[in-house]
Amino acid sequence: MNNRRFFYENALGGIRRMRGRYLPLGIIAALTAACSAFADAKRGVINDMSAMLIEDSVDLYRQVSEAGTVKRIGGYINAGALIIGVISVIFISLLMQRTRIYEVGVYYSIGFRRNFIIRTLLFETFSFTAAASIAGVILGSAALPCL
Amino acid sequence: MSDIVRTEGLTKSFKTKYGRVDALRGIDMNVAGGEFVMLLGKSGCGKSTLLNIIGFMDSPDGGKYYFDGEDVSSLSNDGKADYRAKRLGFIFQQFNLIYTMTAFENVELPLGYAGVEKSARREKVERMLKKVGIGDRADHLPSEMSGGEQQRCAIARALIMEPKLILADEPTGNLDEDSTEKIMQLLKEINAGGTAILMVTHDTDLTVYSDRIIKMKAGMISDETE
Repeated sequence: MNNRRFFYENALGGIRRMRGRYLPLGIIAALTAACSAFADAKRGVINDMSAMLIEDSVDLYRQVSEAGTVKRIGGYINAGALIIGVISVIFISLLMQRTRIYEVGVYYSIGFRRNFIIRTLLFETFSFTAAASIAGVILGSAALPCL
Repeated sequence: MSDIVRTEGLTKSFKTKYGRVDALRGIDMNVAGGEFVMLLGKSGCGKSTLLNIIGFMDSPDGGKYYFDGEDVSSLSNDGKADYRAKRLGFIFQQFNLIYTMTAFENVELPLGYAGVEKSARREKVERMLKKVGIGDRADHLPSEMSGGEQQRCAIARALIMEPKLILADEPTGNLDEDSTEKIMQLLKEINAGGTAILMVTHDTDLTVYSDRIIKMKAGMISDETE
């Protein structure tokens, strides 16, 4: 069946109808992306400060050490935020799809193929999360001059 | 008329923690084209299991199932989905509408999946909603409709692809007397138009609407009357 257009219609309709439930997912994705973008940008500032310390200080090894440590800490915060965010998004996604078991059952009884149903749910989750993440990166980068 | 549904020695059992449960023990039955058949029986006799197999929601363990002359006993999951989409309509006791969609959107679903253009869909859905008597409820959510109206919406969705067979699992189970009578009248009109109906019910009063009654007991057919 040539139902590609209906696939996007139905999936985007699903996001619109479920926007209240997708909101926590979107907020976490946006916050994760914002923290990650912010930490990334701040790491650049910290690196610059470390470079200045190396130039001015007498104890070169200590300066380089501190710079290396500070750089690593920035990286750890960044990675930690990403991991927590990704796990949270996956967890909430799974919880949300469980609440849609009824809807999946209805689609199944009407005659939707299993593959179509799975692709619809995946598309809804990933497209909403991606949009929220992009918004988060923009917000995170925009917040940098303020902090 | 030729048979829409014919089963030969259909069996189905389920494994539970209490052991094996034989839901169907060799069912031989048929539904002719345009016939209205009622399936009666107590809870647990296998009516819904039989309906699920005929409706391609489940597969038999043994026996043969012919739909419109074709052997469909061992279809793939996609094959079963295609039969459900194009050749069958389902009506459930709990209506099974999507509660975040309007009546129009619920009825439109099978058409959209079949790839029908949006403009053609609009026309068909509006016509169908008027036919079942809820033309003025097109933009209402199921929560904004009565039980009878929700069931009419479910019937419209079941009919929209013009199936040869409608399967109804206790469609009046959640309705009052007045709504029950209206829904049965509607089903009778649909049947008069040539669509075969196989309906499961507990209510023996409703048998007056049918052409034939099949009684089930403990996974087998115990009686058949016209």
